[in-house]
Amino acid sequence: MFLLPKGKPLVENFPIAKLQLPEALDKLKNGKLTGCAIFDFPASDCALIYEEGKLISVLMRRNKIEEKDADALRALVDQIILTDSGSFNVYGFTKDVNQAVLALIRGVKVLDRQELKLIDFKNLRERIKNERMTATLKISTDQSVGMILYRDGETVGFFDDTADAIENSPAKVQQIATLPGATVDLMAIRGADGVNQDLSAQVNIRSLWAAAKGDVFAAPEPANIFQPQAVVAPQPSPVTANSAEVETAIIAIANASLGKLGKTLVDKELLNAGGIKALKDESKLRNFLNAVEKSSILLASANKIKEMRNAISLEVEKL
Amino acid sequence: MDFTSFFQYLTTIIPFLPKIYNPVVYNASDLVLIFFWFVAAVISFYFSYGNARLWTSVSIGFFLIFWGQAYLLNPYASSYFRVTAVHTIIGAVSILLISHGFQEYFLFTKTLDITGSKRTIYLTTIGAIVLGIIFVSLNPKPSLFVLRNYRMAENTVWLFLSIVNIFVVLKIYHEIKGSPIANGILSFVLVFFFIVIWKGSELYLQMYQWDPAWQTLVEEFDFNIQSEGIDGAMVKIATTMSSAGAMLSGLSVVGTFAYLFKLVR
Repeated sequence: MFLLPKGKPLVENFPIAKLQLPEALDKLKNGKLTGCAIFDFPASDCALIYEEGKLISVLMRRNKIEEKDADALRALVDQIILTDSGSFNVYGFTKDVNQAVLALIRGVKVLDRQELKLIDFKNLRERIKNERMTATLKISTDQSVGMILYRDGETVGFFDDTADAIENSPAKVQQIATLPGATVDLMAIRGADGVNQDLSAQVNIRSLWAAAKGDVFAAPEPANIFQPQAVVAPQPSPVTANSAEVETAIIAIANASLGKLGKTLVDKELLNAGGIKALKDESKLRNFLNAVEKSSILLASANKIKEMRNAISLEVEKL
Repeated sequence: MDFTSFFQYLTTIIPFLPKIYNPVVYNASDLVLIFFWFVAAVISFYFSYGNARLWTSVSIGFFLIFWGQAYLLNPYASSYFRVTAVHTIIGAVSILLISHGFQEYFLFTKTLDITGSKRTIYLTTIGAIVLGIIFVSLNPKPSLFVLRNYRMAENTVWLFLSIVNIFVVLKIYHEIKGSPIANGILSFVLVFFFIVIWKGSELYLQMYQWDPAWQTLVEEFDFNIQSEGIDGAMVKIATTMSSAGAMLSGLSVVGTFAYLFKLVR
């Protein structure tokens, strides 16, 4: 589970099973949220960072694998469809704190689990100040976590895992820093990192939602789901429109052959294979098909699986 | 149906078999029931062949039910108390295996991972039965009272695990809804419902000492105990439900596996 600072609670512990994602995200957008929306699933978490209603960053973490932005949004839609339990929380932040939280989830790791006793902490704070870092300094022990939030080198708040809100006093974080075995992480972003993009304009959540709800064939072409002209910041997605079309077609085939678990199964095995493009490699394609077939025997007949396998192979040839 | 002469003939051609002195009479319904469980065991074994290991658990479970039921037809069943006690334990192991199979199925729907080997299932089953044998051997020879207690414990395990299995199967169905096999899996709800009726009503009769085994003990040991309410309508209803539940559960298992075959062909 993510440990993100808690700001002003706007929505707390709303059951995900009752959530209509497109409507919920529209509300956050129209309400010009500056803050974060957190989805807590039993085995995964997703955080959405908003800046004045613009969805500037998405991070999905499941099975120790992290997905970002458009991929994370797609994974989020899948998780909501497939999971009955979990909660949805929204917290509002000031712009300064919001930027520090953004650094926490997508910043560059300047320090990675450095032992606190080996660090000149005073020098580190001076460095943050002199380099005008927008960053989160995380101090962790086995039992506790504390955070110091910075905007342009200035401290904008403190948070620890027992707090209900951002605090102005460093007392608790200082206390954690004195505990034996404390380590330090520092995540920082440069001035405009990720601020200019609005993922909600780039990803058609309604189409993804409709497709994931089972109406795969009614969904617009995946090439239209992503609108490259709207991309301002560089996107991590290496998938071309053609690859996305093939991927959607494979998911549709699996869905038609195996029911709703077909989509999850293909997503999972594609992740294991290293993405849709990896299927160009014959051995990886074979492994992918074998893995899908292995699980499918609990869902469909041998003939149906054979048909699905052939149909998927034909789709992959289009790559 | 009188099978006395058949078994007496068997003792003449198989010399080491103990002689049969008492009449061996079976109800036609018992024989039909055993036949159903036999068919269910054969079909479920065939179904598990080449399939995931969770079906191995389920099929061994159903096979052991057949085994336990068939054992009761054996004319020596009431002569070897330790063996009878072991078979009661085997009955409990069978529902544990079936439940394990369905829980693995539920896990699969959540993780889409199929792990573990069939060999583990076979070895664990053998291990559980061997443990049962050791347990029975280390303890005094069970009396008729103790055997009845064994059966009560077995029925309790069956009743509660069958109720749990109904919920697990419904959960599985919810997860795999839309897949070709979904309705076949849902049919197991019916199977476990009939098992709940069968074992639940049997347990109910045992708890109030209305079961035939208790009545036999009262007669045999000349107890001056009258089970209050034994002539009541509830006893007749529970007895009928137990027999009907046993028959329908066997029949529904056969039907469910036949349906699953149709779906996966």
